[in-house]
Amino acid sequence: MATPAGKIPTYYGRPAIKPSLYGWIVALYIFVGGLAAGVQIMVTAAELLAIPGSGNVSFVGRAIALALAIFGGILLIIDLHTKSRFYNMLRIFRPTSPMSIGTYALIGFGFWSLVAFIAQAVGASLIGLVCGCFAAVTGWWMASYTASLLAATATPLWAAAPKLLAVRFAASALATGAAAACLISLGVSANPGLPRAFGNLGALALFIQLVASIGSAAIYRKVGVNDPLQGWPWGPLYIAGVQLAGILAPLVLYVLANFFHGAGTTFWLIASGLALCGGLLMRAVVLLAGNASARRPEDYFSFAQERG
Amino acid sequence: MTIHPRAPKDPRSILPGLIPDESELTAGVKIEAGRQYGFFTDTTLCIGCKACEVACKEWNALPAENLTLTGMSYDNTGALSANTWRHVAFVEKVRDGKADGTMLMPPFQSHWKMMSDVCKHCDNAPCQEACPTGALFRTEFDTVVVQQDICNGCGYCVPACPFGVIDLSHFDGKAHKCTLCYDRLKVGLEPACAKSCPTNSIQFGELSELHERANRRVASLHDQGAHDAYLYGAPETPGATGGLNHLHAFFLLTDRPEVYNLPSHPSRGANRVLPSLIAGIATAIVLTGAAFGFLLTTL
Repeated sequence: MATPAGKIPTYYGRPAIKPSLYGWIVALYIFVGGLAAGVQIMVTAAELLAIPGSGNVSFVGRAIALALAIFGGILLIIDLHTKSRFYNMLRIFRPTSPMSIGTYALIGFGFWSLVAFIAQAVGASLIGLVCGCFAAVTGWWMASYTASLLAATATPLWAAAPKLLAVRFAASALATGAAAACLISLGVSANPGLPRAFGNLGALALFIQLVASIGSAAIYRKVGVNDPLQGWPWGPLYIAGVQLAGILAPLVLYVLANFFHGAGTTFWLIASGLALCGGLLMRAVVLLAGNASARRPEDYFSFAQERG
Repeated sequence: MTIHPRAPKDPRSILPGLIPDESELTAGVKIEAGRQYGFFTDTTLCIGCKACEVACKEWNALPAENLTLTGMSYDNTGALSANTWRHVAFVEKVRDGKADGTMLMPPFQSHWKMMSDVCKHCDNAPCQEACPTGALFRTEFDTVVVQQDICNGCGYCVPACPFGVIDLSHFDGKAHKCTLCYDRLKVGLEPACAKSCPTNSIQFGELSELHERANRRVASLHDQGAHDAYLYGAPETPGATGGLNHLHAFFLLTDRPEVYNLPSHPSRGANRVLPSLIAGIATAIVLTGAAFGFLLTTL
């Protein structure tokens, strides 16, 4: 190199890369897609084990998963800048592109969710269960590929910790899915064991998400890309909205619900509502703070250094 | 500068049509499908005239934009965009980082570093690897081009580019960037920017030959005492890093890459796809297993 390393210079502080054009529509899609996958996985697990009272829960859950998959597809088409060519997504399959991987994950998930829902509606519950299992397995991809999609860009905040970002997204998908399944169980099932099981799973998923987010913050600081998550406006929103109200609070409430039998329903209701809001807010903050980080050349140049 | 032996055969100023293989006369290279072409941009020769920007806009019929002063330098173009495919960066080294204003820069460069930036047509092009429709493809000249009749404006190539080159046009909702004058290459014409460059800072040619030429130029500059000259984007140099084998548009620089708004160690995003997918799916599988465990306790 021509000059010894020191403080990294920038070109008049101007962005060195372009931020994505993704905004709240894509943030909402990432949440919706993860939630659909999470619900499908939860209710299919309950039905596979033939838990008493799981029939109603799985039917409502499948309906919600299908509706969310369709809604997600609509959101993605709305976000295209040449919407009339949405079908060009199906021209090829490109394994290097998470956008292409996700197209087929969403179509596969939507297809199996649709067949599972129809089969269950007409009383062919075994076919419904088998198709629900296929949908749930496709759901693992649905819950994860959106993190891959962000991590495969040059945006420093998305690319600095690819594995932990995927852990956070997948855990949040399962946490929000468990929260929705918990709410559905409270509404349509008489078995108090179901919301408890979903609540406890939600607590575990939130715990994994919390640990992964703390781990990724350590990487962001080391790489030098953490500033957008600390400054205005994303810093306060991330700490208060995502980490405290969206993860820690529902995690504590889900755990407490095991010990306060009288107030369990209230705890489950509040915790599930918080977990769902937190899941949406986490995606929005990661997406928009990422766009902000792409506009900061000091962050990108710090990310794009040789590391041993 | 030698005159090509074919040159006297076409003495007229107004031509009846295209000269066959005109690039042989203007760039000393014949353009044939199946070979690799690119740009070698020697920033020590750039005088900041912006003829490349103008030639690019003229040939590709690109609209004007940013008709204001940036107020930050003589660079009022600002950045590459959907409608600007060549961008001359102006770096004024007023102080060389020293508070007393002493200059370390050799006087022949007049305190200026200039660089005509362009799409790098990366080998392992992250934009092309990100494109879900196949609109972005690799041509027979080993360059990377957006097919405008296929692009559906998903915008994923925009953050995927490690150099901030490709951009979406809000006029037509498609992605646009330098095509390395794909239409001109098809008919044997040198790309417009290189042909218009009055100092030969932008040199078009076959990639292997350009690499040799560039290495000779670096050696010659080192001999003349300019020891800070190095290549960016040639194989095994800064810029050709992190899964990017080489850049079809590579540069001779005399300062850190960041000074020219280039990352010193760009990387290929596709290398991050599999690790993150595996981590995410593993998390989902573990939590699915845990769901079975929690549900079993209710029985």
